Amino acid sequence: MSLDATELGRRIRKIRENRGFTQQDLADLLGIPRPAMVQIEAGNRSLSSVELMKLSKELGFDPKDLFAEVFDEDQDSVTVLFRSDSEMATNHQLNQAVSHWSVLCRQFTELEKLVGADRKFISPAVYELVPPGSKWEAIQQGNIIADYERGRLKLGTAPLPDLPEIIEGQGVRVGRLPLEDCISGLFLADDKNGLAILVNAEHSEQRQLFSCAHEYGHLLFDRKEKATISRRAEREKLNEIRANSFAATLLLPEEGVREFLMRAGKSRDLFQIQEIYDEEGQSVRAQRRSAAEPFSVQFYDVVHLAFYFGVSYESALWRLKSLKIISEEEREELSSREESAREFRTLLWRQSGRQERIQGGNFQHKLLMLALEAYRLGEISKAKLREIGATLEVPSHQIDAFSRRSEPAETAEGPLLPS
Amino acid sequence: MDVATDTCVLINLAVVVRLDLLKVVPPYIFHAPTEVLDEIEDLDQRATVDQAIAAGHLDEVKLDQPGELGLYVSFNATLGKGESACLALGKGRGWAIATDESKDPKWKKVISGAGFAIINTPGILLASIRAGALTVTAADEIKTKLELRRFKMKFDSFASLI
Repeated sequence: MSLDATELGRRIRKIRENRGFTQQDLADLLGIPRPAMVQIEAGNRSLSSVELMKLSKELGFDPKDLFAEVFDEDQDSVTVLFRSDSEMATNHQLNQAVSHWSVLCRQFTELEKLVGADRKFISPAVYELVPPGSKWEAIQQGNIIADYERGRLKLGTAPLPDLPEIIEGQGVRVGRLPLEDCISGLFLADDKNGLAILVNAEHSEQRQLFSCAHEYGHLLFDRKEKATISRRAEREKLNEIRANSFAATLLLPEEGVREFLMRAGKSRDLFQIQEIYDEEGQSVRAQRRSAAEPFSVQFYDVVHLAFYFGVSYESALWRLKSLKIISEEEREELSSREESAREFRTLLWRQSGRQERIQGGNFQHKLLMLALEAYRLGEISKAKLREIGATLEVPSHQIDAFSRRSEPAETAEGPLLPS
Repeated sequence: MDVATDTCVLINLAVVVRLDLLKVVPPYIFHAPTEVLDEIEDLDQRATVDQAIAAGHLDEVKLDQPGELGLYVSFNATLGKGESACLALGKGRGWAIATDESKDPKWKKVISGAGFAIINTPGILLASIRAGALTVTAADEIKTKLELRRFKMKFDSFASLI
């Protein structure tokens, strides 16, 4: 479609308003006076390609959308996020992170299509549940679906050290970027960005794993909303409670926790029963009940449990309480031992030599691989490959080295002149 | 004839410090889109190009018409920003394109398939000889220098083309 400057200006104004920016904000972004921005929106001043691409990058929109036959910005998940979250426009770090993440996700989607690896047919299940009417219902829904997902994905009761990989296997992009401390993560879900989870890279490794599971829960339950940000201040909302319950159960499945404690001899509430059958079908039952005091859960048990399942000490405590393995008083007492727990965990970590569970840059590596493949197949040019490399902070000389094998060994130019 | 100049041609001529040739090969008027200039990473080469612009050997051009911007973002889905700017000018304004990237299958396919008028570094050197702005010996010296930088030409000497 060929559109005129007035329509282009109108569309830019719409994007700006949807994101809660002022004309002064955009003028500052472009380094031009506010009246010039007013003129751009009115169609009286032209917008250069460099300015357009800058706006697109900073505001997180696809520049191709501006020139589409039908301009439907409202369907974009980044727009939804900006409109639903009043802080997006004023919080520079957040808005930068979301825009950057969206650029990468859209690039990923386009490259997948170019190399024929379109994952639109591979996506996680959708659970269209009745919205929870109470906290109790929210917790129950989260628990049930987490157990169901473990079963559906054949995960058993074991820890999920590679949860991001598992989620990516469901067609979801998983990324990590620094966000404000009060934000644990967010998700985007639309055709252009695909299904995407972003977790706060500033948080501890255990918390990131929890956030990853939490956002995955949102994708399963709340995908229709297209985007949400998970903030500490909103943890009382029912859909946040449901996603938290989902994450806790997914990462610390009841059966797995009980098995772990059983192995550690900490099965206070469980009878230990052994039965032996003879050839006449008679059984002899041996039963031992754990005495409360000698087997009560200690801080180092919780550290070990948390370490085993890759969650934080506090998460493990809350999970033990929700499973009624410890009381509220015990949780409080164990929580007060957090410093000892931290030291013990450090020791455990050092001795185990275990790698971080949330590996950095998986998504970026996959994006680079897709770009190299697209270049090899002749779907993108070398300059585009370098451009994608630059967004991933891979220098062009490295990109050239990676792509050299896909190129003809030797070429020579004859003179070309227009006739 | 207006020509949108891609990065590789500018770099080749910057390396041999002969960007002045762009001014002496009528009927061509060379323009460098801002996106192309931004792709020159080597600071010395960029300085040489900036000096050539200041001397009027070529000029910087910005894409700012809505139709051109639409073409540009569409090309940029699979091509670099500099390439996309050149193609948008080629298609939007009917300009020729100066480029050397024959090693790149995608770029080669795009520029050869859409009926763009193309000029390359050997073509500029040949046109300069024909215009009397460059001797065959000087052109062959440039050829040797560029070949040391892995830019090969299909012929032994410009003498064979005259």
